[in-house]
Amino acid sequence: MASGDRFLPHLGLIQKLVFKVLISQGYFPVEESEELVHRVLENLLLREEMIINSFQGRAKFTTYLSVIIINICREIRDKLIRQRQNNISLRIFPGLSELSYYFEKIPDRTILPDDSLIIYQYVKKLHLIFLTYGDESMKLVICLKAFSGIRLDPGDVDLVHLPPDESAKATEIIERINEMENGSPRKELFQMLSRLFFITENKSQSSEALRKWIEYYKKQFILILNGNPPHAAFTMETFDLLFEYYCCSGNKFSPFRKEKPSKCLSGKTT
Amino acid sequence: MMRNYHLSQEDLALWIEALENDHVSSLPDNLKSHVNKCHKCRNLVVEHSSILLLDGVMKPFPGLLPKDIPVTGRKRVFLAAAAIIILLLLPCAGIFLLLNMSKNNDATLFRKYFSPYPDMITVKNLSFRPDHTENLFEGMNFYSLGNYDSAIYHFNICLSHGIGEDTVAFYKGIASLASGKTSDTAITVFNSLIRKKSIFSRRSEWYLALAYLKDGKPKDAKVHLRKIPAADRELSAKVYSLLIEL
Repeated sequence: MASGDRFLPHLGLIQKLVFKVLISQGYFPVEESEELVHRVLENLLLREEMIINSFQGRAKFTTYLSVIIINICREIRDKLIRQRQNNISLRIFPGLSELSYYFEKIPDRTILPDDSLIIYQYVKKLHLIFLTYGDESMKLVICLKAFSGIRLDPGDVDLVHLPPDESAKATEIIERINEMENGSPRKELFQMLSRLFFITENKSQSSEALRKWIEYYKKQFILILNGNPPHAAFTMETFDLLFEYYCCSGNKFSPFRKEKPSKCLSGKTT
Repeated sequence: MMRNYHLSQEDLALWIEALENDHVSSLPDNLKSHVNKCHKCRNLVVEHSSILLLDGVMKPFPGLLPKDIPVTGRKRVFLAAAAIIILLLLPCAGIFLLLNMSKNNDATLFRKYFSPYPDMITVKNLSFRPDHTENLFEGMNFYSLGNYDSAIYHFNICLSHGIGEDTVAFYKGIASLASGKTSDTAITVFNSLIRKKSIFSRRSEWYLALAYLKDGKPKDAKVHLRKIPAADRELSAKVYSLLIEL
């Protein structure tokens, strides 16, 4: 096969990925898309031998090539960011530091359809992150739900493999957590969760260890959601809000939903 | 399998395919455990799969948000129904367009070839009975100004009093053709002039053909165009040209 012939049938894929990674994110203007596609193709040709030799056939070639194209795009993006960092910092301009003051003054507003689309995008990303945690994701969802004051469902916990008496105990703990008021001491909540996981995982974890565990994971979630280079600015508080949306999304999340998440949360006493 | 103790590009591809098909549990243990330990690799997995799966570069991705599937299914049914309706409507729309196009063509030809016959009455100062000459000249005045409705009104008065007869009827026919109304009056007038073999019969053939053309009846128009003798110096060139276009 002639040099480059392997990549030409995937020209459409290259164009799509260049658009997604470099243009739609605002790193390059749309006028430069053709030039960027050429740059990616050039990089692919230079690395053709390595690309073909590294491929072992475990994944589909298209997926493998997509990963390589994204990585090339990321290289181009990182190079651009490094170049920009060499330029004069905006901080030296007078008045820019006052911007944060003005942002604070912007009043709270209701969620618009456009905002909902962005939230929906991040809800999907959060779902993707949960999937990467595999079996641990269930435990994470239970903890995050309990901390956010979202009603736990017995279906959240895998009770099928438990003996009947253990299953009954776990269900009772879930009900007690649901009955807890939002202002209840956190320590009590951690103790309940610790007892629940002792039953479901047959593993002892102190309430303090559980608290640290969940905080560590929340920070990881926020780091991944914010991205590198950062394209979002989630904090602990805004992450909790996003998680509420995520829980509401179970079979009924709509990007054009008008009510705030608190309205679709049922049963929890406030 | 791992390069520099991190996921290789093919490992990343395997992760993306597992997320796409919702079978993360069936991934090799070393890939799963590495992502659980390595924040950088988890970030890479999420970043790559966000681009490929969430932004719809790879299709389909049923593993993600299964709640979306029923909506997509409903959309598919709706799209299929819409496609069937469009397919059924297409031939009808085509026929409708063809008919309209031919009508539009006839109308265009009418506008191209129609021009009101010049006012010969005022120019030649033909003498009529003096009691109603006022209506005749008023009518011709309005005719020259392009105010055809008023012209027809005055022509009708003249005709009811027997003034001018063929000449006034001829101008009335032209005025009604030019007024933008239906061609019925014009067709009746010109047919009667042709039947009477008046001095305007040859001109009436021409305007009758144009009246049929305006009505979208090019076949009838052709019949009358062919009746105009080729020897007619004024009309033969126009007739020939219009017959070619028809």
